[in-house]
Amino acid sequence: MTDSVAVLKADIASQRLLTRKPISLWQDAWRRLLKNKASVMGMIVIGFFAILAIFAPVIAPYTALDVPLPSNTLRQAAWVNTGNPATTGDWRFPLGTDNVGHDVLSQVIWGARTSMVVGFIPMFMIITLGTIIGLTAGFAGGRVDNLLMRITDVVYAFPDLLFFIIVMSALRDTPIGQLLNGLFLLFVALSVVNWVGVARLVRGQVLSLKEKEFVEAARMTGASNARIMLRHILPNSLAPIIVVAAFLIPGAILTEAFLGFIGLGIRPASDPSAMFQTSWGMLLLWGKDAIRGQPWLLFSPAICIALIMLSFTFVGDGLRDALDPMMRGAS
Amino acid sequence: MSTYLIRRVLYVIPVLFIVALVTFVIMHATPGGPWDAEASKRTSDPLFLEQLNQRYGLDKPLFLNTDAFSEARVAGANPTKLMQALMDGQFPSYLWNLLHGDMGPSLRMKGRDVNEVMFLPSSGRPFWTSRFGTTALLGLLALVIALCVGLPLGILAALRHNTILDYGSLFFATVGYGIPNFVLGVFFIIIFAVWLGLVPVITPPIWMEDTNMPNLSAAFLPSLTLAIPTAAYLARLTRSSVLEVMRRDYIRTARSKGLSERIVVVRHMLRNALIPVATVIGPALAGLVTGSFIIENLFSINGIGRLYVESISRRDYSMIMGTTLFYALMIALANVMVDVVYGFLDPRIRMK
Repeated sequence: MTDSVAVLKADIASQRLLTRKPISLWQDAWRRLLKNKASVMGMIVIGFFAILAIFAPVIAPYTALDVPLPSNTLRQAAWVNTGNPATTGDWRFPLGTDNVGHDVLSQVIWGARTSMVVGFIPMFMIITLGTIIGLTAGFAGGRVDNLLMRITDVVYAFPDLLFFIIVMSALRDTPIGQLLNGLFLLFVALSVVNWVGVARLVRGQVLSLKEKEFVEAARMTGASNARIMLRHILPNSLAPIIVVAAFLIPGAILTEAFLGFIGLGIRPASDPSAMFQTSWGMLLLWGKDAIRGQPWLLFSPAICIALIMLSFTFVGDGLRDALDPMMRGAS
Repeated sequence: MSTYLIRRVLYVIPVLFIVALVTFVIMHATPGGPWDAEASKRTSDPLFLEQLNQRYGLDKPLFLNTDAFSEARVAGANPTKLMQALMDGQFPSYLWNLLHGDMGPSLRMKGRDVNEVMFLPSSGRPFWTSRFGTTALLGLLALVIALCVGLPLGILAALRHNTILDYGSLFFATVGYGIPNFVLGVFFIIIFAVWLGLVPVITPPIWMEDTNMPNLSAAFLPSLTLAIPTAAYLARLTRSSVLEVMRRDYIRTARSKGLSERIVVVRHMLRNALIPVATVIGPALAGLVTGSFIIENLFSINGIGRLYVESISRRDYSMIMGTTLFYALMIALANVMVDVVYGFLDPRIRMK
């Protein structure tokens, strides 16, 4: 008898040793994300470009406006030997120069800064605006909610890309269009179109969570509306918001590259100390005419756009799978 | 069904109205006018500018012409005349002309109408060689390529689940959807035209000069570039849809009845799996439509997309308005098509 009690005690003790520390939903999701190889690769690439973007003035040998070479030289990439000393590659300009004499490597590094900013800042603007409006509309219901739904109908009806093109082309020369070399206007245009989707998502979340028992329980303990919204409903709808945010970033970067390529993106800087001097889309546009003689002008920014877009897509897919295991493999 | 269909088609009208209104307001909210670009080049006599404005109706109020209205009222005109006077603003007259299929003269291409530039071919050539015809040809070719690549790839990937074929197609789908198609186009031009020399760098005319037939070898690379994101999207969707259907009970039943594998796959699996795929053909078309303005620009093809981008840089407002409305109409029609297909396939939608 005493034996069996001892065995039982030892058993319990060993089991206690075996139990692991409880982990939160977020830690769990983070571990799942780290298991996804594509996502980890994506995060590394994004980290690399983020460092380039932040330290662009230190890393880039020149500013995007510097002309270290006389014009009409069109130096090839460093490893290309054309036989002509004026165009053969030179390691001072690893990716060559364009026909004005700009260093391509420096321009690509400065372009990374524009792309990262265009990816992240509108995302924060859109998420903040959309979440606040969605929470309010979902919680208040009634007339506020109806108004929101009518507005979303109107915004959905307007094709996004056409809206960006019209806004960027018409307001380009106004004082607003010149702020931050035209990027401010792009942020506003992106926000005007995209907050709607976030607001709709958050509203839907609030409507379904509002009826859950834990909200009822919170209300019974005397929690105020604001407390219920911020401490109970918002944290529970964070997962889908994060997934949407992750996909907003590549969308914004793509839009900027697209607009830059048709000549409507960032305004070319004239001041070498400007924060944002060039963008990958604009480099593509400028390189287009030299595609035969100097494909590197297009190749470098094109590879950067492709890498960053793929990375954000991988991270977005990984986040969706990690935060919502039920969705795994769907779509 | 027919009331549902009519409702969906009528829905296009308010959409176009909103697009026209927003475009109009944004373009007229900006300082300066279409003549500013040349102001520095020539001596712009104020009288001359006034005449230009009169010629193009830019001297009228933007929306309601209250001046003409009160004048007409003082003159004691009848209600119809009063209404006409009130509506004699720029936006109402633009809409009125638009209803008659007239999008006005181009502000920058001298002596040419927007309609003419968009829809009429150069003289003596058949109607399908117009800019519209060019864009439509590219779009149709791209749709065919997207369907012929995307569907088989998705189906094969699902049937050979977790094999190298599956991973390959999933890789294609992710890369094709993740990388923007104009960037892919840049790679294609560099690889196929500059390095390999298989196609000319500047795409030759899409329509043969002599026979007026499509020049498929010229149109192939642009159409392929345009098609890739759509093909990738279709492949991804088809794969997951087939995978889901494969696990259903009726597939097991069909197999246990002793039906041949071919019949099970074609009649039981694909028929059901392709329903959700059919519904995304609409957005896919819309993607092809908006993809066209960058692809046409990249490959130097004279379609409506290139016209759009060019008129933006020239600030040709009437042309921007016309091409914007054209694209908005295409996208709205694509969306309506989705709803109609969905309504056919899933009767529950119609009840809402």
